[in-house]
Amino acid sequence: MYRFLINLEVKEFFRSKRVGKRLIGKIALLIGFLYIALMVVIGGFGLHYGLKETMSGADVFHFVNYYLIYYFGILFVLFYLMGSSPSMRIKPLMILPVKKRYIISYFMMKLIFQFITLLAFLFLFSYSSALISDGYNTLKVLFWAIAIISFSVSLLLTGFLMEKSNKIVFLILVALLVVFILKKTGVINIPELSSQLFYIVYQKPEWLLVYLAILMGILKYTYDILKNSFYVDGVLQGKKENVQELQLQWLDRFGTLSTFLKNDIRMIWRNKRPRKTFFWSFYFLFYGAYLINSYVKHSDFNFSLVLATMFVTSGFLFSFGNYVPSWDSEYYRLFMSQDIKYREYIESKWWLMNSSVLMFSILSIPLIYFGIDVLLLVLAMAVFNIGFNSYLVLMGGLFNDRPIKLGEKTSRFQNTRGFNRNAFMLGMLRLVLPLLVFYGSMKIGGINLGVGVLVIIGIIGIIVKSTVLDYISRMYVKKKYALLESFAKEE
Amino acid sequence: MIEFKNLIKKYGENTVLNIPELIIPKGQSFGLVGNNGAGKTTMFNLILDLISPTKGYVMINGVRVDKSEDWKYSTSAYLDESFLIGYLFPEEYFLMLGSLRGWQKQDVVDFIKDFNELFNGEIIGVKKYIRDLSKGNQKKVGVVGALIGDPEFILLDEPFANLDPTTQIRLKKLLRKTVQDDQKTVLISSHNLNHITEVTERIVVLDKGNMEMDIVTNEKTLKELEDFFTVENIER
Repeated sequence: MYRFLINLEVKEFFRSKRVGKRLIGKIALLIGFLYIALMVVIGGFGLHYGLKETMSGADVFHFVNYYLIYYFGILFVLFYLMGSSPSMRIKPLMILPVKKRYIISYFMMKLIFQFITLLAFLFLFSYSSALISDGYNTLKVLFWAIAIISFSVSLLLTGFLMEKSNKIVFLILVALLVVFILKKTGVINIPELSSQLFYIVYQKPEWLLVYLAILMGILKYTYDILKNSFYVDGVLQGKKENVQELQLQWLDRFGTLSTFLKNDIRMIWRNKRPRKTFFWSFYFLFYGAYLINSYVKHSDFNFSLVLATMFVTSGFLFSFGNYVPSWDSEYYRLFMSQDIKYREYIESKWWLMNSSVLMFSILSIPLIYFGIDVLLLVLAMAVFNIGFNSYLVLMGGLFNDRPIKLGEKTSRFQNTRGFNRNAFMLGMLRLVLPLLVFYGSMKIGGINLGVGVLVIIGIIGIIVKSTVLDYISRMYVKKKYALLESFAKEE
Repeated sequence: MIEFKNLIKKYGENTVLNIPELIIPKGQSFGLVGNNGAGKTTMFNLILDLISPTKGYVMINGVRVDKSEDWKYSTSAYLDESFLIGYLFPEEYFLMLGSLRGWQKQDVVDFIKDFNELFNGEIIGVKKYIRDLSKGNQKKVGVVGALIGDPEFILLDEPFANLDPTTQIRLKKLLRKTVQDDQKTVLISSHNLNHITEVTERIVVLDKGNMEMDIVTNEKTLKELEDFFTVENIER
């Protein structure tokens, strides 16, 4: 029975309209996966022996257990952000004589054995191997590892259930709040708690049963939920979202542009895929701030620091901009037959992306904590992003002809675009160019000149906006039929 | 006026549409009939410049659609769901179209009021996104959307399909009213021979990309069409 289901999926893949590009994507993905897998395996070994070297004499395994809860915290966020609900075409199977439980188990297996969990398993495997090779009790380590795996899978499934039911999100929030209050009041100590929760399996293997019981419970619960919603309007088909109203009248003052801006804001807010992209862009901000924090001590404006100052404001610009105009692929034919000038369409995207740069610039003002120089560089990079990189992003859209299904939340890993040399070059350009400009002018006249040149280029870019946008729109017009055709194709 | 000049669309060696000459004068209601694959949708796509012709061209009011965008002021269409924006409320969709076509908000609101009967209370004010409406209601939204902004040329692909009987009759009434307006040129394709003969003044039959018949609608038209589409005839 499973062979039948797998067979269907293989056919679906190889008979899709873009099988060539998708195959290349998958192969690239596999190579990437193997590389990350290798890193993870090395990391597992490295964790144990590295810690052992730095803390001579202490029980490093026990120490790891102290911080395991943070690992699970990160893992949970990763699962939630990067993990994906498998997409399956359930409907045609529903009326066939295929037992529900096969389809549901198959679905759950796909859910559990995805890249991100496989990586987590690999990491655990290599870490446990390191422990065993270092003389820890094999059986006990094994029990511990199984407990950790069970817990990871339980987390994964919880993340999946969170998407399906607001009740669970609420429960988890309450639980987190309770933990937070207990921590504040000093009732519990989180590392202590963590060690008690996990190290105990190593000490008393019978505790493994608790973890298995939790896993079984969640598996059963997930299975039941899936089974009860095994209907055309059920969970497997995606749920209908709550209706949200947005007050966007304030945008009206922008004239025709406001029509598009309103539409884009609604598009982002009301659809899974773009909404996720929007939240992802905050990750750039935080990651940039984190990098700045780690590298600012060297104070010589090294590579990572400068790159980070660009990242903090460009998250949305890059992550959303990468998929212009595919965001509108579902109704591109409507747009093309309306009295719309490409120029206005492009300009509205420009405003949207650059408003985000402005927003992130404001949000990054606290970075003044790392010194006025850093903040100035961040703001200069923001101006450069607005006046230069935004055009590169829009031009990249010309090579971007894959339709996007707004309602489907694809995972970062599965989201492989066919490799396109031009798009890649433009992508590199917008990373490399600001660095070259900055370092080039810094070499000549110090940091102030570096910042100044970035700002000047950005401002020139803003001044010549209408010429550049005219040029870009003309290129889009040339691609019109090709875009219409490829947007009409199913993935 | 819509003019076709030596229009040919080929996919590889396969000619899917070949119209040497056709003129649809202003104010005419024009019906397009044909079996699946006859080229109806291709023809509409070519009029809207959504695909490029292999040879020849289409002109709307003397403007070549593939050379200029000026025809867009006067033309609107509803071909299929890709003309809808799923994440909007129907009201928002209408307002968006209105603002793109130069209408004030109040114009749109007043205009929409006339369709209360057609909408049957299932579309306006129900706080449902277009993607969550039934297929039939989606079609109503699309068809009414195509009427917004007082377009001179209106293209509707299979407007009757997927609609319940009551709505079909209401839509027919609505279309007849639109058609009577001398300023409006309406192009409708349909598989339903009854409806199309009732609504249009002229019917063109397409078969395998070629124009097989071009008739002014009269009492005998339905019979003629039925004769044409009997199996023997089409397999000839």
